[in-house]
Amino acid sequence: MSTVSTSKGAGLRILILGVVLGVGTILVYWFASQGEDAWVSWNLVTAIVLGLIAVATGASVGSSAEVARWTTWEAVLSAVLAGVIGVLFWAWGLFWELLDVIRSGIPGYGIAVRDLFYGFWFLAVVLVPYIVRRPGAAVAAEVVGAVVSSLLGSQWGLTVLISGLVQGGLAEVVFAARGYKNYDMATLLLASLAAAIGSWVVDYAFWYSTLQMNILILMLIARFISAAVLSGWLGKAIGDALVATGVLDNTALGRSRLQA
Amino acid sequence: MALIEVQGLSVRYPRASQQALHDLSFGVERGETLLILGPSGSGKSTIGLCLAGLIPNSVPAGMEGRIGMAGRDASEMTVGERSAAIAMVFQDPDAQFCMLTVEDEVAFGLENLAVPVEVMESRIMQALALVGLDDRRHERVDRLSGGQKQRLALACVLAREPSILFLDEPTSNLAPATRHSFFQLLRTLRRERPELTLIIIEHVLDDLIEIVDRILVLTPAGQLLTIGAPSEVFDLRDQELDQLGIWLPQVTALGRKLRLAGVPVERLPLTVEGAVGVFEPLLAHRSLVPGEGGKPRVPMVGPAFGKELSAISVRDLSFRYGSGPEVLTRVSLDVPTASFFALVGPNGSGKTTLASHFVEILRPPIGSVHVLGDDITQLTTAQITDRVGYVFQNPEHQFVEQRVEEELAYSLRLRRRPLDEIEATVDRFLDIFGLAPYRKLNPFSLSQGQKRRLSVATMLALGQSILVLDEPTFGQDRNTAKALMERLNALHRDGVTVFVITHDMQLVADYAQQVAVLVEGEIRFIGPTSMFFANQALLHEASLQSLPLHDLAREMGIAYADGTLPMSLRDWYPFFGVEAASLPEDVQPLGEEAT
Amino acid sequence: MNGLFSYYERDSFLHRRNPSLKLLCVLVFMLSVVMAFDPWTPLAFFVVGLVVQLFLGRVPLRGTARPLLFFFILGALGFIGSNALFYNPPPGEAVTVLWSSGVLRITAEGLRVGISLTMRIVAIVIFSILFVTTTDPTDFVLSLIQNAHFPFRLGYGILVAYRFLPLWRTELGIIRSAHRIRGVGERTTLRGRWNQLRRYAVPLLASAIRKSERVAIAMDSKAFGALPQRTYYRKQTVTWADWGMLVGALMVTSLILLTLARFGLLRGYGVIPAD
Repeated sequence: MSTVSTSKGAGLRILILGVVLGVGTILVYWFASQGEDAWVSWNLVTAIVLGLIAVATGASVGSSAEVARWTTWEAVLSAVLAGVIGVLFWAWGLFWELLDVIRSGIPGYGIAVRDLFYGFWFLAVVLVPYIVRRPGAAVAAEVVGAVVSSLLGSQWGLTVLISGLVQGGLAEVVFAARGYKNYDMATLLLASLAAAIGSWVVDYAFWYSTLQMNILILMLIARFISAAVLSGWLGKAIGDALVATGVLDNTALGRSRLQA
Repeated sequence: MALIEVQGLSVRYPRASQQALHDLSFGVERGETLLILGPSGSGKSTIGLCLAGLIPNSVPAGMEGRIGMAGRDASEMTVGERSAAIAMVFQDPDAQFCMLTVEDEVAFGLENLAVPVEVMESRIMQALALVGLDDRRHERVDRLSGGQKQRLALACVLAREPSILFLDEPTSNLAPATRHSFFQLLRTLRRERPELTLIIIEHVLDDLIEIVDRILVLTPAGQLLTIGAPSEVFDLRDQELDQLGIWLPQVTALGRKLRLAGVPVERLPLTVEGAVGVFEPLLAHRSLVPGEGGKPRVPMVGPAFGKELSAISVRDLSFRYGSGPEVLTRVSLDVPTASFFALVGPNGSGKTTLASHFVEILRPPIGSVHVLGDDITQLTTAQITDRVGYVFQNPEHQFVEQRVEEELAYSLRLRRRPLDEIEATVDRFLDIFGLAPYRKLNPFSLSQGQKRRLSVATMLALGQSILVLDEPTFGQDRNTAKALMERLNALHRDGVTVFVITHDMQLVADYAQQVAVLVEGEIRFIGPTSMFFANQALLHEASLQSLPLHDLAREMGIAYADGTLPMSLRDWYPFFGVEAASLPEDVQPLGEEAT
Repeated sequence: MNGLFSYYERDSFLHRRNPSLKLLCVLVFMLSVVMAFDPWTPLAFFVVGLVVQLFLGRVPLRGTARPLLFFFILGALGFIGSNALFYNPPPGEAVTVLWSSGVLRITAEGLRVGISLTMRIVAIVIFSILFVTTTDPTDFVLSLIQNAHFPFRLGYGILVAYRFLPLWRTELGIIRSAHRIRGVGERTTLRGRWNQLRRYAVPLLASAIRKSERVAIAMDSKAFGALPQRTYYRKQTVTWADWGMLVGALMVTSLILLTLARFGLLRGYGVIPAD
């Protein structure tokens, strides 16, 4: 039950697994699209989408072994935080419904407008790793959020499980690339952007693959901006405010402040 | 050989400047009930965490010394063996469980110990039956009341069949009536499981002291003050206990005070029954006229109230949430200006709902609630908050700023008061409430008592003349509670109307002038405190605990001529022929806790 | 907390099935639906989902009709609108323009795809409803732990988080009242809501963190994760019926897809019908 430290090279392993799976998927896709009577036709966007989903899956699966080594406190804290953030959103729920109506009301561009507020959904994927600082924290935050919201019967149903995994997985890649040691603003912003890409990729695959590129790009940009402000920046702000209250003294974030 | 042997135990937490426990050594016999007493911050819980092995495994802290269990060194025991030996019940009923239903939760502890599934069923049933929850097996945990949750915690622990049970303030978050029944359960447990060793941390001892074999007292520095049988400890070390602010059972405290005044009290009683025998021969009078032999403790308040005399006036207020059942039914009451008013009643009777109307958290119908003579619905939010301060049960819910001084300044800034006035007010309040050393700290990092003081201070910053408090002494040890109440009393003497919602009968007896009893949304009684406590049927109907001293008075047939009972310790002295003025005042250091 | 639909306690074939395998079946259906771009595929799967819910799950349609309708409308407006105007045809497909004005144009293919996507959302929602209404939350999480190798500490953490949700909702309500009394007005402007969120977040999260620390200590005191093995009071078994369900799901999926392809109705999967 004692604190088991991160196994050496966990970050690297997770990165490699993700990258290998991603590249491998793209290669398979490419092969399948060659020749006269190919099964599928090559599409660059599809390739990127499939590749990123594969990377995220690899990172998620790779980090689950690490999550098994967390302490009880880390596991419970991560899950509870993801849940509370969900409640904060619920309070915003009506606002979000309004946004959805905007989205439906203005064809095409309405989606981009709504996406300017999308960043909220990534708050957990930044805040939880910032506090807990263990491999798998990003994936865990997203997956827990997804499981809890689907149990409550949220409107997205089970699709959240998939988007959660992909968003978390890509954010995890960012934290892995920083060796799970660096959690400065740049890292957090990058992680929130990675999660935004993840959400875009899954939404593309599920819902938006038939739309024109200009709309899709607008969506992506909107999500980037939104993620950076509403989860990257906000996540760090909330995390820092919590450290000041003293409740995080026993967490990795709290301990890092002590040494500073 | 003792079951538990603690030698030279010292513990220091990561950021602490002092040790939580210092060189502690003691033993616990098999089958004994040990009570741990000490002021807050003396490290009582830390002992439990160490015995259970949670320090240093789950809770980071430096630990030195040796703990032996049944002859073995505890650090050599595996976590599984450790957990099978000692089980803990914690204070917060909301934060002990992880499963959704009652039976799942009891099973959880068994699952962790890899108990075979076939065996689980009977253990679960037995444990639930023992605590009286067998008919709620499939109930969701969050639908249980606080008392039921603590019983569940006990069941979880008993199902694991440990040899040692450690209960860390199990009733601090419970209402007095619930606390009473929990202790009854412990007494039953004590009888039926004589081989079980119990270690308990508690503050309110009256109901519990019967089953206690020995008491261990800690100093604020985490050192052993004394360990011994209750009668010895209370008798011989009473001076030190008093200095540490440790609360004795009421009857014991009375005996001690009488002895200090020269009354030949043979031995200090522990229970009401014991007290009758000890005090009987020493009585000088059985009935007195209030005012004779000592001044009545509280001035009687005149019966005629008009709107202009009342700080808050409620007329025929009824309320329901949406289309639900009626929560308040035609409630009428008057809170006289500059009075100390208590609202009591069982859980769920609508007390908080009623008080919410005083500050328009809930909007009352026009004409039913008046504050300082004005209809509340005609006032703006700013005007209301200028007159009434509302202190929530959990002070943290009200904090909006990052530093104590800013928290105090907040309301003033919102009203755009001039800067020098803000500064002066903040400085003044920091002084009055003993918060000056913490002015730059984050409000959340204060101790419970300090947070409470801060929330009271913020609610008076605008010069409000009415203060409404929701359960101000909830979850606190008696010392901290008393310190807060003394401050409130001082405010009250300065003219602030103090309205308190509380379960704490001691508070009501010691400070309140008027009491209103709310049962199921209806007012059953409004009147002076003394009349309230004299009315046993009322207390029973409202599921309120009567105080041990009142029980004693009834047992001994002592009362005032008008039927009321002596309220506080000092009221008793005249019955023994002691001049109230001859005794030193209880001195409580303000600005107390070590945490 | 009330979502749009939640666990509906009943005894039925679906209720008795292993949650992890049930999830797998639902994912199979969902992924099949996602890859099709004609309106018939999602419609067929929707009907299957409906039938399964009513007969194998015995969950009445009462509570679920409203969310279905809600999403149908929302989806219709969103997808049909966007695709009609901004449809991006795959290479090799010609578009029929129904109306154009300057840069904007409405295409027939776009309309059709919009309708398919609307059907898609409805199909996905019915499967979500199917899963959530026939699965007990605790069983679901326990099954993830026992059958799907989900890390068990996190799994129990999810149960704690789920348990606490109503508590946070209540606390948020109290915090809002408390702040209102302090004079922090509830503004509905964007900036106001932003500040509100920051103000509420800290006390709520601080309380959550503290409580979760206590729960973790309580769990550790019960030897959570201390022994290498643990037993399970609610064992999530995998029976032949569960495998049968999975096989059935695969078969139904293939049947639908092949039949639609046979009739030339299938579109998507890289397949463009001859017309």
